[in-house]
Amino acid sequence: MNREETSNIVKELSGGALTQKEILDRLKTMDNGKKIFFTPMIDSEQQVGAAAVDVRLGTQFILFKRAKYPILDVCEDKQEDIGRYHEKVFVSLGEKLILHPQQLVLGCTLEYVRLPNDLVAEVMGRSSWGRLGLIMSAATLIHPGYAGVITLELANEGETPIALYPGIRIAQLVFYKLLNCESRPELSGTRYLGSVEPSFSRLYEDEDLEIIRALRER
Amino acid sequence: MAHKADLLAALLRTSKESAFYNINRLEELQSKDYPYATSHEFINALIKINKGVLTRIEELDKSPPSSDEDFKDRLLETQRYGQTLGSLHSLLQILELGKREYIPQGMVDLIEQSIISCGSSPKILLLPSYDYNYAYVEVTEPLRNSLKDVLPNIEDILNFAGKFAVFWFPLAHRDNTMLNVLLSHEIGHFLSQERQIVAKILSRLNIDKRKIGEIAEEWLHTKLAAEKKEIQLVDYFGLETAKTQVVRDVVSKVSEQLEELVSDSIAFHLFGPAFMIAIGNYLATSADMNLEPRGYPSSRTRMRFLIEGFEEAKYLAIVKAFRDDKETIQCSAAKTFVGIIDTWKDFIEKEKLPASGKVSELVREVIESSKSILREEVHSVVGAYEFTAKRFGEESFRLIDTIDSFVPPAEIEFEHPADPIAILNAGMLYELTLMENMHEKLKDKELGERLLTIHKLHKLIVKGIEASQTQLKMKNKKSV
Repeated sequence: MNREETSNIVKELSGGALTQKEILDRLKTMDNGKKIFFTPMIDSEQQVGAAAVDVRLGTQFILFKRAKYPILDVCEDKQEDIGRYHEKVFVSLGEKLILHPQQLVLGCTLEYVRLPNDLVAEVMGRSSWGRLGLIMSAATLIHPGYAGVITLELANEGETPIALYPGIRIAQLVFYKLLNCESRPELSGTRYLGSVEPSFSRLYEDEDLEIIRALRER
Repeated sequence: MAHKADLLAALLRTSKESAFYNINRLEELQSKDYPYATSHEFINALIKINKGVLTRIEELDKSPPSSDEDFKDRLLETQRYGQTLGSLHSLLQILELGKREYIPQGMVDLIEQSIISCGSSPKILLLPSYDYNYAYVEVTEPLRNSLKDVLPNIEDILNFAGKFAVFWFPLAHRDNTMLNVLLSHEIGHFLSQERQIVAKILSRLNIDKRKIGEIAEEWLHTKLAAEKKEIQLVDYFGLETAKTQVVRDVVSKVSEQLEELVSDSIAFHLFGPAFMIAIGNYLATSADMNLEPRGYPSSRTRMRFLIEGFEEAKYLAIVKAFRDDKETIQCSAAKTFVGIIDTWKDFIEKEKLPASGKVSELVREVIESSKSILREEVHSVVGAYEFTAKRFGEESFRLIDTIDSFVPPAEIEFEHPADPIAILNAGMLYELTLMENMHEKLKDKELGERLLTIHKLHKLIVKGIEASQTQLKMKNKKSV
């Protein structure tokens, strides 16, 4: 799903983006049914803007082993093979990760976020980073009830390497209220529930792939 | 002599190769990712040491031996260097296993901060071990001792670390946060040995001289009976010697057991009930609680000491207060927690330790009499930094609400980081008393699902610790 499609869906589903006051109320409320869990909040004055909350870069990354494998093929590779294509890297606070031109890494937010059932959120890159060439390569829609850190697909589209520091404000979350909120279990089951580190793609779990594989066998 | 020179050259070549390959591997390890800067400092030190030994070996090889005597001396020296190189090779495992991927990140700062808060500043490494055990080793002192005659500049090489403490944990349990609380016992060993707490306790203890005399006399009678002799006045000196031996034996056993109990006590003071529950789980699932393994008190004695300390620190009173707050998860947690502690007490008190020899009886007696002195000495080290019952009540009990929402308990309130030890204790409390809540919410049915949820809980706790520490560091820097 590209950024425009995601935004359109969000707009159709939602009653508009939450304002600064609404976001702060949701962050501070003791009513767990309405609360946006967002931890750690280091500086709300700095992070909560007019209609978005800035998120910071976490300490864990997934790097792709570019030289070792010729192709990622979700129809041919098995789930357990995924590990062979990537390596996990930890970068402490105060250290940096260099993102080279045309390199993609998976990072994550420092913050662990849990959304109530009546909100969705969209992750957007900060334009200040975009102007340096750092692109959030796909818009991420955070579903109602999601709990975990948010995986960020970070790509350097510029021509010079970019140093990434954990703890730095890297992206922002815009929250939208759902007009018709379905009743859902308290913790809705999603593939990535409870993640505390970036998650690799689980495209391999898509049921459609079985159909595609069957078609290929014919 | 020519063949002797050839043989010596061959042996020296083997030693030189050994040093060369040690250096090679160390240089490869320089590019690895470690959670501590100490690892790279240690690599550099080991490269210098290996190169120093290589130079000394090369000096032996400069000219052929001049005499048989010279050959023998050089052979001996070659063997000595060979042994040194073997030991240096063994130290590589500290670097091979110390890579970032094997280390629980959340525990790295926590262990370091706990030791620093008690006024020590050693270099620290956390390492996985293939043994199912937690351990502590001081590395640089043995290195200094074994190399001071070989390398005159060893002090300079090792000056990056005054003390260098290595803490080991079971490899597979990297993410088992609640079990890794047991590392606090190893912090206890470090502090106990650095501050010589056991020696201080021993100097304040009285050992019953009458019982020493009885044991010595009985031992002498048994010995003489075996030799078919009768005790006479001339055996007075034998009796005095026997008494000295018994005292030595008792003091040695008491100090070994005290070392463990002191380390337990430090761990409890620093990490609170999370340590008590973790060590209880570990001991009760590892061996017979009544056994007194060599150098250790029985597990039953260790738990009894801890639970007495727990009650003395007024934890139970704090926890019981939550039982009145009906229909909260705190009430439910408090009820189950008190029930589990009561069951532990029952288990420990009802079954007595099996009878053993008179020396063991006396050791137990001395250990019993050491309790208040032990607590005083431990308190003098841990002092103001101990985790308190008040904090357990005010923070840990509050943080279980956050855990119950499947969120890392990083903040005690909006924008305020929680205490990392309070987070650990909240994790312990939740897993021990409320885990079924979580299974129910996630609709866990199969064993695999339930274990995965427990694993996720452990990860939430580590994330909570990491996030609270990050928050604190960034806030502190901002205020500066």
